[in-house]
Amino acid sequence: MANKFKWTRTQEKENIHMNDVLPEQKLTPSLCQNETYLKEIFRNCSDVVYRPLYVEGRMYALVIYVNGLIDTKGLEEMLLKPLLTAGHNPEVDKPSYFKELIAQQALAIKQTALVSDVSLVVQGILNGQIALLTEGETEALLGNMSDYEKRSIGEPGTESVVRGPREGFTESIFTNKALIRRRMRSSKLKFEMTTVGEMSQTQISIAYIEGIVKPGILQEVRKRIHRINTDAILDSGYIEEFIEDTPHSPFPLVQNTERPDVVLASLLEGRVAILVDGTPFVLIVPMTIWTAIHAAEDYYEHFIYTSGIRLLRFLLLSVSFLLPSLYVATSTFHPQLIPEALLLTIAAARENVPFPTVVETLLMEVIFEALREAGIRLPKPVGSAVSMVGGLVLGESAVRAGIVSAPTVIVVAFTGIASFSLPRYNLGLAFRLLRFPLLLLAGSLGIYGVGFGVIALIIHLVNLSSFGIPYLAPVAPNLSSNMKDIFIRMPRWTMNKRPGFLVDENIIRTPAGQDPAKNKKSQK
Amino acid sequence: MQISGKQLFWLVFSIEIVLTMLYAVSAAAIEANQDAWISMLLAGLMGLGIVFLIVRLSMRYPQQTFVQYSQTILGKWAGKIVIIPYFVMWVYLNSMVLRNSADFVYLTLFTKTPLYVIMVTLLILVIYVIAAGGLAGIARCGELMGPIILVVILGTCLLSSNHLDWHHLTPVFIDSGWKHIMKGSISGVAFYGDIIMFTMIFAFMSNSKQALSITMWGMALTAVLVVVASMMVIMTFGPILPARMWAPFFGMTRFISVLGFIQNVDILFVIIWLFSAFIKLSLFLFIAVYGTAQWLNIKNWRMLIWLMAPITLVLALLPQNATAPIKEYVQQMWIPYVIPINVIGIPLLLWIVSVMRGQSIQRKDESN
Repeated sequence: MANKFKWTRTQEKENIHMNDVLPEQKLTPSLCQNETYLKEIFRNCSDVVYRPLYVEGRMYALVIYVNGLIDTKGLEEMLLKPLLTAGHNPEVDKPSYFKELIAQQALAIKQTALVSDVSLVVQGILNGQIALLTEGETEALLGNMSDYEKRSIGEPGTESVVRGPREGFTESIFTNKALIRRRMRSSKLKFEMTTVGEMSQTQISIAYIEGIVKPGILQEVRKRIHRINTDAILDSGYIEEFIEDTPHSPFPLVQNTERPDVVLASLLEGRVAILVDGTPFVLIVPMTIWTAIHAAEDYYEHFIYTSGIRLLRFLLLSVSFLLPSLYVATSTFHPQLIPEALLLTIAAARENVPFPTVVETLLMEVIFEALREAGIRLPKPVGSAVSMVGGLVLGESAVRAGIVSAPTVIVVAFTGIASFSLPRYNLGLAFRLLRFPLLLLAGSLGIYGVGFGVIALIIHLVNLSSFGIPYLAPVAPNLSSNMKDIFIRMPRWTMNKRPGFLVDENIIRTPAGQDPAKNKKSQK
Repeated sequence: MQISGKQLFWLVFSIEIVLTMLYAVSAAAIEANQDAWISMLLAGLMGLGIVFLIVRLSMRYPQQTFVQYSQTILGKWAGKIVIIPYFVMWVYLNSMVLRNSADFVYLTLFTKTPLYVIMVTLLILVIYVIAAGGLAGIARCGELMGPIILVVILGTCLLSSNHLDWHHLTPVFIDSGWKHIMKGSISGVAFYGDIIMFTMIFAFMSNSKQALSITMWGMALTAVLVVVASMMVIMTFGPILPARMWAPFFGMTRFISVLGFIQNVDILFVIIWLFSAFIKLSLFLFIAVYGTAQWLNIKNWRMLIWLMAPITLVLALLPQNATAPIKEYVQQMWIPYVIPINVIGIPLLLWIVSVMRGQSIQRKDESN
């Protein structure tokens, strides 16, 4: 009990320590005093600019802003010029002069606010607002002239498509919201703002569509986000780790995307998106495992082609997880399972290899992962060197020298290709990681070991849930009415309902009777 | 912990099908030779009869498990005493299923690996699913694995169809006669008698009105597939050989060869065997643990698994060879005691007493 009390006290202390302004501190009528105080707070912050305005050698107003966070041209045009002209007005000493100025709308700024708390002034300045303090006034004017350098909208790097929109999110949360809003002109689309991170004060936006999202899920998202108490949020990955249901699972329980169309499609299915300022990756919850074989493009291409591709992806998912272990298990423990001709080929190729198959495969898998990692980390100009060393030296020469066998190289290479074909990178990571324990099981217990691993994986997966939604829904628990968009994709006019495990009300998306073939008949 | 109708269907199917398909056919062929499939048909019908009996009984108390409603019907003490034979059955059946599953894997895949390694690894999976997900977890596993089991069985049947000989089935009936056919069906009934375990499960159904039809459908699908399988076995091996085989259906899958490329399909069969064994073991161990907890009024039923799992393991290691747990167990334990007492006797007694007392506890939402 005493311990617990102690702990909460230290926690409070930490919070106060992070905000160095007392929350109840007010501005004083003396401009000089305010200036000294603010300068003390922003000590050594060389990016904070103070622009005093003088009349007859006496300072009557002070503009404070952070360099680079505001629109400097706008500042000159809309604030400094009117103020300098106003400074020649003899009435400038009148205490209420400042308020009148706003009332007359002499200052052309998008959003303004009057605050008297020092902490709010500091916060405003750091958020990219300009603060205007005047002599004899206990309130400061905060004007929103926020404008900063940002990356222009480009094609998303992690989810490229052949057909479909090519816009991807950027690091600015305002741009991202605009990208979503532009595709959904409905007041039902909501963006709830909040800030997370004691020091970073990162803006977080919870996006959802009112009337579709289940209130329970939305409430849970809000609760988990408000629970977060940390110093800074630098990427949505921070949020993801704080709000996951089962943090120790290798499987991602929160989906991330760079594509506004994916976000909107998810929102329309009753999911909730979490936008984080400073990163192009938007989080989507609840997530199900089937997104691993669903790409954005599936909904833009023809449904027959898409269904075939999805079945292929499902096969590749199994390959990326199972192929190396099945290879090890059959060639080591159960050679009778391999057709004779193939067995002879494999045996001939492996004749000179000094390692057992499991060690050989493990070795090649590790080398492959190393190549992949090096490919991401290395500076771009060196990239071609890596592929040369990887492809030629490790592959060709190792086989020729008889250190590894060609079948193993083929198996490992195919596994690698298969794991890259999954549209969700983070789910591919989970399967790629689990490949290694499965390989060891296969090396020690053969096919039975693989079966053991697969059953253990199934047990793990069926018990996972993301924000209360089972991870394998709608396959286990089975809801066959929602199976039109899992292993295959049915044509759009048949997928007329939102997924029943996510949505209770407004479940109809497309009214019935829009089958073009039938419509054509009825016209006749 | 609630399970849906579909989950119940797949549980019934995946628990009943594989073991019956593999072992019951050879036991029936000893008595009925080429008419073993008629025996299996009769066994299936009797299985449906048992399903009807136990589901009707359980549905008189849709919110209660067998342990609970036996006390409601017979009073506290008599109700508790009646559970004793079931407790023995739970423990013993678990260990036999474990032994059986491990034996099958051992005989098909291994030569040097010790048997207990397979048993312990299987038990680890079972403990994992019970501890992590309970009945809901088992039911979802069944939902994923059940369709795979069905597809593999249908696929094996299809691929084996090229070496079938209809003449092996003739003459129908005349060679064996009713007596032998009936005798042959008893071993089938013994395997279908497993369904008595589900009296502990119906109480978890989210919509208990479906229980009868779904369990019947699950049983019927199993029975039909087993009849088809036994016909195919006889058509492949003739009337005499299946009786001497250890698992004739599995032997048949080893004959599959299409284009000289699709061979060794038996490995698929080992995998669905593993799935089925896993579901069967975990459900039965769950029932044993949960039932014992209810029987002895223990709140934390999950703890009992640490007691039940080692007991199961030790009992499973006792039999001397691979045929003992399946043949002797069925002949000496299941047919003379379990079927008449546990599967038919006590449920019938409970039903009669319940009907005479005019008791029936309806669902709360219906009575209000």
